[in-house]
Amino acid sequence: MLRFILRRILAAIPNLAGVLIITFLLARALPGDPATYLAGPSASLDAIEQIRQNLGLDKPLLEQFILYVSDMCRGDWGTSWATGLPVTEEIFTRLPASLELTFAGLFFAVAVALPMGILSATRPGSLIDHVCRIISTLGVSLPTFFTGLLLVFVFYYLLGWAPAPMGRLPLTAIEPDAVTGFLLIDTLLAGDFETFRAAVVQITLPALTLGIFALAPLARMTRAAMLQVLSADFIRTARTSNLPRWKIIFVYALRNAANPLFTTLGMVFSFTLGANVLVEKVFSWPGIGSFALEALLTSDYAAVQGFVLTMGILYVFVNLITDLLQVLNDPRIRMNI
Amino acid sequence: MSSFTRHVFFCLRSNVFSCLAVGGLVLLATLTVAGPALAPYDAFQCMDDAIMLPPSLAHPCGTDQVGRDVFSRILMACRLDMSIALSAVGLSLVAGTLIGAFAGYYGKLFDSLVSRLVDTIMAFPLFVLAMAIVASLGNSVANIVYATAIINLPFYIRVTRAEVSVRRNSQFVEAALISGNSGPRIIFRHLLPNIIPTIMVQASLNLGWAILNAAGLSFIGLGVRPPDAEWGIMVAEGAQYIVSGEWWIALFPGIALMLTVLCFNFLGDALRDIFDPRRRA
Repeated sequence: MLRFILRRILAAIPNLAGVLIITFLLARALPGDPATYLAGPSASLDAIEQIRQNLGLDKPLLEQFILYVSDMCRGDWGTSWATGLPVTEEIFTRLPASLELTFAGLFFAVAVALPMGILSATRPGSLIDHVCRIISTLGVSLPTFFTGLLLVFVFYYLLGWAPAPMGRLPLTAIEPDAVTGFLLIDTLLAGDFETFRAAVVQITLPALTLGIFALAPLARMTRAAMLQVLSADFIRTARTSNLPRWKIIFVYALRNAANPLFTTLGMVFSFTLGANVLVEKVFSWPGIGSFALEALLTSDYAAVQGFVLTMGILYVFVNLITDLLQVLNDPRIRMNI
Repeated sequence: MSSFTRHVFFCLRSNVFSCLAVGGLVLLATLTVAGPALAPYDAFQCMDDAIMLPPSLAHPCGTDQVGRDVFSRILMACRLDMSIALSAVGLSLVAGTLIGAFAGYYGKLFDSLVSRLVDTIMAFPLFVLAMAIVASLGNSVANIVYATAIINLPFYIRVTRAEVSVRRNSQFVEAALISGNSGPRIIFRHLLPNIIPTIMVQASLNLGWAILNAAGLSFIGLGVRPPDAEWGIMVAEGAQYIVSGEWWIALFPGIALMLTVLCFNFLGDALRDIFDPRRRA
């Protein structure tokens, strides 16, 4: 098992290298000369040349790349021009907000998609099956930012049930000490249930928005995987052995259908990371998505690059975790290692 | 009527959504060609006496914050949205199919290079990669097209590569080789025609996704600039007025976007029904 984990971590290194190469190439493809840009409009040619040497832009591309990789590995991701703070610091303070939102959205998606998929798979061709299919087709067709606005309009403006789409906490709430950075956990740790409730209310609509988007692929995959497993011989054996129906479905079938689900979950996680940017904009959510948007609009390249790199690294880790989950779930894979 | 035409009609008749999708496609094509001509008002004209009017008979979708007719802008935007999506999908279809076919046919070094490339692209959340590409190539509509094309490449490469390597050792390819056909000729004349249906299904599902992607990019302020009419940017412009109750500015372009994507998704399902051999009994 340990050997498998180590080997899988080693196998993630080429992916990380790919991520670094792409971010490096994108940084080089930037329009204009960064040195001229940094020096400002009134700089002399000597000053620009000086900056170019400081940045290492006069060196050959391969050497620049090695410099870049070593900088990134040492945690030196440059400074954000807009805020004057190191990019790593900016990203670390904002990442928990994005992750909290992503996890909440995925939690909702899984909580709805699993029952939906199981219901349709156990009753193929029934009314429930058709309704589930329509819901999931609608789910993939809705642009995330539009779902978000629609939810805001209905639940904030029309019904008044939800708070204004303005960040993670209402202005009046006192932010708890940051332990994990996840407000839902920190407030509980601080024993501040009032703020916890406020945070739950605040995260509900954005999480729903992400969840609706993530629901469709999960529901489809659950249905397909369950249908396949339910027609297998061992399920027939379980049925003829007169095992209770719930046990057949939830214990025998679901565990066997779980592996393709983990793969889909990893893929959906990547979608949601991308969709996060849009949802964060709609709900003024102070995560790395809205940070990246500000950076994009002010041409703050170090910040954009940091954001892309963070996303790439996150996704490599998500893939690593889904692989490990599959191994934990399926002893057959373990035997082949 | 040939048996294939009969089969197409049979598939369409047996699924309401497929019929709706074909109807929607006709409507979209009409709007793409004639949208600006059909619009009742000039999409750029700001009417001082008609600022943020709710939907009425004169303005079916209301007017926006500077007094432009939302309905006319939606009709107008169809052409831009469709041309972005079509050219992006077209680019990645052609490039992806060619790369995938050659990688699947010749294998070896080229194949492993291509697989690495695909893995690297897929190592990012695709929307983030598109953002990064547009940010570094420059903020323009053309670059939105390139970015969308690049992030869709892996899907075409994978599908074509898999289909070609399955057929690569079959007897008709062997026969073609023995008759003296060259590799590229076999790919273009014998292999690609066989996998066109699979690619078409992929492309149709992909179109909806490309539209969402392009609209998402312009929603966050990349690519299309105001005052140009595009569904994503129209939703973005109307977003701030939703909380104060002027819902029509963002709602109607959003619905247009949703219906278009829905249409392509159903169309993809319909095409799959038509080309899936299991249903063609």
